[in-house]
Amino acid sequence: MPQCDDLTVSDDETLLRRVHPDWIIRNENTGVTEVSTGAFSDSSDGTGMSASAAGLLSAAGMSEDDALAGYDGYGLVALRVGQVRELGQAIVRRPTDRDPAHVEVVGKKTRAIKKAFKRAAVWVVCPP
Amino acid sequence: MLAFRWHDDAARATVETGAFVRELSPIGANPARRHVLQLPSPNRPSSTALTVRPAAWLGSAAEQLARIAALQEDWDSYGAPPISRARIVAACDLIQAVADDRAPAPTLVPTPEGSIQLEWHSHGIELEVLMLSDTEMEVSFEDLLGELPEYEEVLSFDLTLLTKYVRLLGERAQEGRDG
Repeated sequence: MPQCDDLTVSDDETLLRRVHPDWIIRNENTGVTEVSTGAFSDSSDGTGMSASAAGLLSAAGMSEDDALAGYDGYGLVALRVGQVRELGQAIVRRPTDRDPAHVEVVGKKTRAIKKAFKRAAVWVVCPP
Repeated sequence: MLAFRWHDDAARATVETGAFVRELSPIGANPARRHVLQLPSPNRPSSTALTVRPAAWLGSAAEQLARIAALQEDWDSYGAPPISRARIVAACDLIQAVADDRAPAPTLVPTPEGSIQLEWHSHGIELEVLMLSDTEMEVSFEDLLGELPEYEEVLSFDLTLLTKYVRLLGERAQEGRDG
């Protein structure tokens, strides 16, 4: 069954996604450290790409630091919900015990969309 | 060179670099030059050995493959499964097929679906290869210097185009051309 885009998560909301160290790429063409497109995939169980909504984190009394707590060496990137929706993706709230701000980014993620995610992603925490 | 091998006689696997390899075992003629990395125990050991022809970056590829093969359940913090053994072997096989000593080393990236992506981002070339299955890969190529057209397709057994792209990388690296 198609999942509905949760419009209570506004376009101005920021999504935070943890970045495994193996997803951090040095691009010699641009000279910058960037996130691999491999980071922007749905989960293997068929659910959408996981992230945390920064506003929901804040409402729960948590911060960006909490999104990385216990994940040494990981980075953190931000995507704006509006940009994500422009790529044909929907936002679905899926709070967990550990992350009350957990959401899924639902929708087909073609290579073009993964590349667009990569371009749109802004580092919040980039490991050295 | 590089060899990725599951051992039938022990619950372990190795990635090895060193002397030329064409058989399951023993690996190499000069043990002193081997680069052996222990991998975690596979669930279903099988006898698979793959080799690639010499390239300066094969040690790097071996280390990356070993690290990826060691990833445990939930390695990405979002519930990703361990990387498929079949994809690791397929990636090793692909490296063997397209290796070019002049080209820079690929970056090997694990994906949340349990697969591997090979990436090159240098000398004006953006090349990504995602292993989709044992026989299929998604190839994305972009030439920032504009000499070759952009390409994005799923390839099966014909590696002609991919080999051409890696060779172009090698040629540009040899000529010292940057993007």
